[in-house]
Amino acid sequence: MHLYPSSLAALIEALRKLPGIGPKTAQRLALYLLHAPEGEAEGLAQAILDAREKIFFCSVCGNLTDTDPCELCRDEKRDRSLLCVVEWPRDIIAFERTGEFNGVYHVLHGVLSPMDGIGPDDLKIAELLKRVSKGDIKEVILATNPNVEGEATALYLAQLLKPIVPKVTRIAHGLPVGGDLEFADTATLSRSLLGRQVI
Amino acid sequence: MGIYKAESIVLRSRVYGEADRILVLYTREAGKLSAIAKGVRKTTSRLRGAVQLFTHTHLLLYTGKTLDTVSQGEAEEQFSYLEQDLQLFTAASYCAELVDRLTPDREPQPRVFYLILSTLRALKDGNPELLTRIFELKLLDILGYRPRLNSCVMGDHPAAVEGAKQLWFSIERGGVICPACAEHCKEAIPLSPAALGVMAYILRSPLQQAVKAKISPKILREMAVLLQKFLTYHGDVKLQSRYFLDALRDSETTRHKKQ
Ligand SMILES: [Zn+2]
Ligand SMILES: [Zn+2]
Repeated sequence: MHLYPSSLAALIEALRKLPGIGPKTAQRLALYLLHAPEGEAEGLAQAILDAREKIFFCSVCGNLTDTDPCELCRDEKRDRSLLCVVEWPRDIIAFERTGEFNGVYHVLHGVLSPMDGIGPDDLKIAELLKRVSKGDIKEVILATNPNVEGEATALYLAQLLKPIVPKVTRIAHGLPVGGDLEFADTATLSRSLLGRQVI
Repeated sequence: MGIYKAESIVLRSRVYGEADRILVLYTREAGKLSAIAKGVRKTTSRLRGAVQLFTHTHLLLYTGKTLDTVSQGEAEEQFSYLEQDLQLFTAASYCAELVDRLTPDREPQPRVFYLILSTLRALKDGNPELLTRIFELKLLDILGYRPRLNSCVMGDHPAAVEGAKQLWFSIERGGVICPACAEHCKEAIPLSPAALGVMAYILRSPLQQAVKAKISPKILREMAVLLQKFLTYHGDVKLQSRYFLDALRDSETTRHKKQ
């Protein structure tokens, strides 16, 4: 692209690598940033650097955090005998929005997907089993997405967990097949949590 | 081309952008193709159910500049048992990956479509390991790589000699070799007459019949190793899901031995 000076072309190229951003949007964003009010572009650059530097995964639950353990894991008011297993940190946000859940979480960081080379060893399953085998947990809620990979992962986890946890449940009740949790409205998500069933 | 209908099986599905998915479909009418399904990660999407992984589905697509878009869909069959068992899920993933890697884009091969469909159906009750071998052999056959099993690839004579306990196979030459010729063929690998018989039986029988055969784990293992070499050589493929398929089978075997 010789139409733009090289530093601008580099910015466009960098933006284009972001998920969901095509060449046209990248150009628009780059041009906006060039003429943005004083401090805005610098603020964005600094925010990216800060987040990159300060955010890491909680050593207990795998959530994104800037303290270890994370705020949710440190919260004394939460019920540590109730553990909700999710695919990604963004799913924790979805459940927290409902205000219905007062237990703690475990993030798998993905789902089983043989075609993408993702097997049990690539997910935080060993960490989950270790956490659960300490014996304080009374119920594990499997809250992977209600699609083929999510169901297969939940059933696989259920087999591993049933011998070591008193109760293993699966959300899904009322959740439409194939819709991702992060897009579910809070009412539907609350219902799926309350209507969870033993598997 | 504008708008077109396609009876499809969803081979792959990956998250794209905010709420979309990019699908790899195997269609009866147009062979393998990629298409985008917009908004299907939202719980409000009406298309969602029709584009789930491994679903047999009727889709309406419109042609786009780079990718075609799924505009409407109606699921015909969902194979929910694939979610219940990691071995079945992995076997289906392996077959889908094999098709994705071995078949060219937009080259209609209805036999491939029906092979995938009958395999997904047969996984319900069939032995997943035998079914994967059947799938490999039949796919190789359809794509023009059928291993030659009835006569020696070194000449036009029968390969199986009366009472021979050991036969040979050449991956490079793509078929069986008689004991006499094997002495002059460096790359020949051993093949048991039983495994040869099973492979020939699979190739001449319909899938629904072949899957009923009772095959010993030892012979299935021998076929797995041979077909793996054959696929690597002729199809130039190294599949992600293969590793899990073998790992699961091995863990199953050790579990059964322990019991
Ligand atoms: Zn935590
Ligand atoms: Zn010969």
